[in-house]
Amino acid sequence: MRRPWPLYVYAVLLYGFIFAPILFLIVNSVNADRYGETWKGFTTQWYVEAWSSPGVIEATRNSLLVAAASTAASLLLGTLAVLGRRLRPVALVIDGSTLARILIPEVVLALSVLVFLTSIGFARGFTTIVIGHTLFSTAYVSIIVAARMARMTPATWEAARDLGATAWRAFWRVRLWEIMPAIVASGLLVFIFSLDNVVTSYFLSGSTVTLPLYMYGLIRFEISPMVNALGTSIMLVTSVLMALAALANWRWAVGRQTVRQLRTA
Amino acid sequence: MSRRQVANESSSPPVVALRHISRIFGGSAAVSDLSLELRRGEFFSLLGPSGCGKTTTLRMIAGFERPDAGEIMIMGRDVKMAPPNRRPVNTVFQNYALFSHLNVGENVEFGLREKGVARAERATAVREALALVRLAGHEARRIQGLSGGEQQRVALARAIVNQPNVLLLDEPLGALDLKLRRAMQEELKMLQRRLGITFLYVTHDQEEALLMSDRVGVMSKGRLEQVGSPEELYARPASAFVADFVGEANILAAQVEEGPRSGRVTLRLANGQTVTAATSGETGASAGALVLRPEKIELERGPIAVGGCRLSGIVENAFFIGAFRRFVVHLGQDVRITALTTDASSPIAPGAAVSLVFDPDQAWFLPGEIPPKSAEGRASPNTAQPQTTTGHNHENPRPDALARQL
Repeated sequence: MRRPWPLYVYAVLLYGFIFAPILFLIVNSVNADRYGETWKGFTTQWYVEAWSSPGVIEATRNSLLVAAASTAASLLLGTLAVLGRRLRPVALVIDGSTLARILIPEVVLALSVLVFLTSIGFARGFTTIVIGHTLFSTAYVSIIVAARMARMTPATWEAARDLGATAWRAFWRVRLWEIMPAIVASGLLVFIFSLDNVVTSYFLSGSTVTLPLYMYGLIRFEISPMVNALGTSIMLVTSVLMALAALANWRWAVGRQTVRQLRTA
Repeated sequence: MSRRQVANESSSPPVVALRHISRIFGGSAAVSDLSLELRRGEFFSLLGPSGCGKTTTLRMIAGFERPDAGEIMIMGRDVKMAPPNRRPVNTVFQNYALFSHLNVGENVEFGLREKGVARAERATAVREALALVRLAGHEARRIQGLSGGEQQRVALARAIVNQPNVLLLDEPLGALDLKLRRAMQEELKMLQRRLGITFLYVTHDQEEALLMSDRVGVMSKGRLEQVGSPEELYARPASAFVADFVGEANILAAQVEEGPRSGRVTLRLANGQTVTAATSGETGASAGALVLRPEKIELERGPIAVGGCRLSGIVENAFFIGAFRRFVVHLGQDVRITALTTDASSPIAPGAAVSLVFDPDQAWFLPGEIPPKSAEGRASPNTAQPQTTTGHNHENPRPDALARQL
């Protein structure tokens, strides 16, 4: 079926609007012109400069550690929250808090964490950033894992119990594997969220500088061309992670579907 | 010793004993005051329409539901409070509930690993179990790649490899197409005979229950209506519900004219004709339900009615269905009987006057019972949709069909 031509124009404009800035960033990351005003030839100078700067390397290390720690913590807590949800009266509290952490503006959340942690004597630094990131990351883990749990029946759980497994063993040998796609997907997602977070990190950083904070520093007074190179680098890494997350969920979904088709066939 | 001898040996203690168990869901009883004993090595089916409580009963034996009253004994041990993993039973679930993250061999091995059986022993047991269900050598296959029938067999192997005292099967063939189901029914029966394990089979398909079982328990609304051999259920149903649900039956309202005397009773039907039937009841009930199986009735041309075991009427509709002919005979006053004959020679056309002949021993009177509304004056084509026979909103479409023919 042919669609009317204005739709094509609209699509081109929309995607242009979304992707033009990103394209501009990528092009300028290899543009020899320091100010990105005209094309002065291809260069890898900014990449070399960026990735040989001790500040960048230190910030990257911090970012990766924060992301790893907060992802691990939020996977554990977020999944446990969903499992605990099965206890009826607790469900409302858990659901409410999950939603709240997504709906409350990040500035407010970060600020309240800052005020609370400093009032009980925490110094700002690596730990406080991890706590801040974990706070919102658990919410996303809970939502994704809960969505998967909602589509599961108790059948395989009962089968495991029937075959002699205790509740604990049934969880480790069966349930965990069934929610694994959701755990992998949400883990990759919150890892990325942590990696590019600015607001919470900014409030809770103290002397610990993460990569986004470092980049923010780079553009404060004049825009350093290193930012383009760093931005492109981060985008590459996150794109790969996103693709992996999508693949994890998709592969499982497709697997499930074939089973269902066979059963009805 | 043959399996049947074992099954009939009343001295051996029951494998499963349910004593007055009840289960209440949200104020209404899913199972109420049900008592039942399963004998060693028998194939027992719980039969009933959906929602009759048969699956709940099975789940109470498996340990997924706890009875609100009564006790459950397995091998003489009270298991009412025992969790599913501490009961010597295994279940074949309705939709198989296979573990899709494990391959076929790992699925079958699951229970043995939980029991702590050594690796080498497990491998041998898995191989044997898969061979029993005709899936030898399929250990490394993925669950996703199996057909419905193959998944069914893996589920079966996964349960029997644990050598349970009782194998519980919850409508295991419900998801298979008709042809495959027929094949699996025979296979299951043969497997049960070979293993000698007690099978408790839950189904809503009466044909399936009759052809596989040593004994059948018919359930309705949470109660056990009758327990007996397939032959007993068919020939001597204990209630109008059982008569209607098991097989095809004409169930007619009847008044007692004379008797019961030495197992015989003379009845008057709603249209005034009288007939003799067998009965067990010595109660003084003045009315009840007459059960007549369509295939026990012979059709003869001519309106001669000599009473006793003869009824006369007009053929209202005749159908040719291959091996049989089906006739709907109007006896007058809206009393209709369906007859099934193998006589293929000269078909009797609608409108012909006929008499219906049958052996009084094949007519069964249930004192005090009321015919199910839907079954009145017609035999229920039960195999297709057992649920519909208990419905109460069926209009009789036959007068219209007749009008169109005329």
